[in-house]
Amino acid sequence: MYSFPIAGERDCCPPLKTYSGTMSSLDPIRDGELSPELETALDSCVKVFMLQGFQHSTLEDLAVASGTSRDFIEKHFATKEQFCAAAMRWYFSKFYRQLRSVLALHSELYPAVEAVLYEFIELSREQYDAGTAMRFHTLMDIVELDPDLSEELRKMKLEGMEHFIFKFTQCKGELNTDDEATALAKFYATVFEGLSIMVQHGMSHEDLYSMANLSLEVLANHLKKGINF
Amino acid sequence: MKPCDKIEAGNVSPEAERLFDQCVKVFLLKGYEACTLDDIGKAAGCSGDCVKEHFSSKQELAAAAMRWYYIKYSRHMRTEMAMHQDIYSAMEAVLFAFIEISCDQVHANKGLFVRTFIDISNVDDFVKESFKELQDDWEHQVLDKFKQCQLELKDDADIEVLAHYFLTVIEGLYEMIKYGTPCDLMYKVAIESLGVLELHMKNGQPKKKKGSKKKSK
Repeated sequence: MYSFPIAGERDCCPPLKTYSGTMSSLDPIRDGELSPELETALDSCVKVFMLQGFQHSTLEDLAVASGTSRDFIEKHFATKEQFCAAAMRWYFSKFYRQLRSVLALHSELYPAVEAVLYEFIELSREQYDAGTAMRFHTLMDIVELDPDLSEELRKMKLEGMEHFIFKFTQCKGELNTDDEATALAKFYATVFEGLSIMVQHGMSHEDLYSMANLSLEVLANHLKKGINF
Repeated sequence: MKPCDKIEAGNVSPEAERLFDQCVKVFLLKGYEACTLDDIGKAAGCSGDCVKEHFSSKQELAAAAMRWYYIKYSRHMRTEMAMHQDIYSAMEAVLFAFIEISCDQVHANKGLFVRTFIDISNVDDFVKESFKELQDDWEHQVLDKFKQCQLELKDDADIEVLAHYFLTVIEGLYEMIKYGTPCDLMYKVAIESLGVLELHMKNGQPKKKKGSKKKSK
């Protein structure tokens, strides 16, 4: 069982679930961090899937693409499916860990959402500038074609949302009415997804911040009178 | 093997639709570089020769499939924008139509695979050019609508940023629906997102739209 430690997590959030991973103690992920070299290697492997096909790619192909050996790959992943699951975990853990930690630093809703939006932009732009995760959506689409992986992807997405919705629920007293919390949380989840795509489309740093700031007007409009930021 | 009908004047036969729908799955499973037009024809239930009658290469097929994905949405969006004169009603109709089409795709068990085409465009210049053309066209449509309605806005300087904001929301809606968010919740999200527009309008939301059918979902 492999779990990713979450820095700065407080007991205000639901307990973290862990996924049954297949990585050994030689796992190159340490404290939830993946070296830039390994991020590039994972991305190269997804490129192999895209060009050679998930069905036809072998663990050997992945070893060549990642610049490692077949032994190394086989030591960590018994199958291509396990590789995909690990690549998904890598992507989500990196974002979720960081975003949860930012979320936990702010007790009030508006500063929390603002900080998470800005952090998300920074992380996404960092990845875009480094040229990693360029084929993330292909990986997600491959995963969609496998029922087990698809289920795991949904669980990961849900887990990320749970913490975010929890923050809105926790701070619902700041909102005009209690029942706005879920729809607002989903609205911001939509904004995150949209921002992630706009980063891939090459939207400028400045424009990304403008989008985040516009979206924050929605939250400001739902806050009870007297709560200003 | 069924014969595949011709694609004429932009009208796509059900067989061609199946071909476009299946080709992305073949690209993913057999590989964009490794697969053949025969593989794609087989997956779509028509012969490789039939596919070759219409497409001389995978690049051409991939670009056509991407265009088909795009037209499916943009035709509706364009119509909705043309049907609604004020910016609030136009954007509301665009968001609702987008949600409806995407949810129909999901309910019909057709995947939402447009992102894979975008990733393919990063390794294929021909597809990239096609993608850029479609993306620019879509962006201009939304931007033009905002320009047409600029008198409704408090500040002209908001035109571009508001247009990009809605493009961002639409991209987000696509992903949320793809990963199983219930469609009724997506309508609520669309309404939340429209709150930003209302705040930037001189007179806010037009009264006639209050309590519209979709809003009560």
